[in-house]
Amino acid sequence: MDQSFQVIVNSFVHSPEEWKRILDADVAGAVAQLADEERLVAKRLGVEEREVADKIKAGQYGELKLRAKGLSLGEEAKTILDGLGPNYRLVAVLWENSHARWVLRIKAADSIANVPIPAGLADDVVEAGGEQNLERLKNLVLFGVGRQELIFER
Amino acid sequence: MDLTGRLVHFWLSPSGKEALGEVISGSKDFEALVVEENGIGLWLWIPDAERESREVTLLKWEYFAAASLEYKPETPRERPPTGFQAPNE
Repeated sequence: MDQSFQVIVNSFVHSPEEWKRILDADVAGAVAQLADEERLVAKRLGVEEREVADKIKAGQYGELKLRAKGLSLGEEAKTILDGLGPNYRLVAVLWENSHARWVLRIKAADSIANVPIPAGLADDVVEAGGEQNLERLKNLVLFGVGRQELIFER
Repeated sequence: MDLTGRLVHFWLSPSGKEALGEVISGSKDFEALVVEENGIGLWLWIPDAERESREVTLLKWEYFAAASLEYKPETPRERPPTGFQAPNE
């Protein structure tokens, strides 16, 4: 699918299971890939290179996972907006770690709407799908872009 | 059950009816879209006759006595993976 919107993730999270996978992964390879600057910083901090490598690998993995989730959420939102016509366009999907939510940035005819989507609902939509979860997402998008009159018409 | 994004029919408690009497014109029940929920209560969009207002109303948890909504258990649909695998998968 052609991705016409940005997925912006400035932070990431891990489950204990993910941390175990990360720690069991090829740490020696990650250590070998450390940049000189990273080795220097580690030395100044008194942190072992292996621990730094773990964190770097963890960051890359967690961010990738979150980005993938944002992409799927954005594709669902884009489908909803396509149904409203050409005046509505998804510009970006942003992760707000401090609020544990996604924000859909949508360009309407003459304004920008920022539509918050709780992380739990995004997980339900992306991982489980289902008519009711998609309906919940659709309701929030319609309300967010000011087309709430359509919510009770369906 | 998460309510955000759902259309829910609410019945107010006596204290809720007193607090929200003006907002819902003295009725003890009404339907609304749950826009957000937090520790204080639910932020609702209560459609007026024109359905053009974007005002949301806080319904504290203690202000409603009952709620009902359409619910049916669903089997998760088949979906492709989200895009990548863990390092050692």
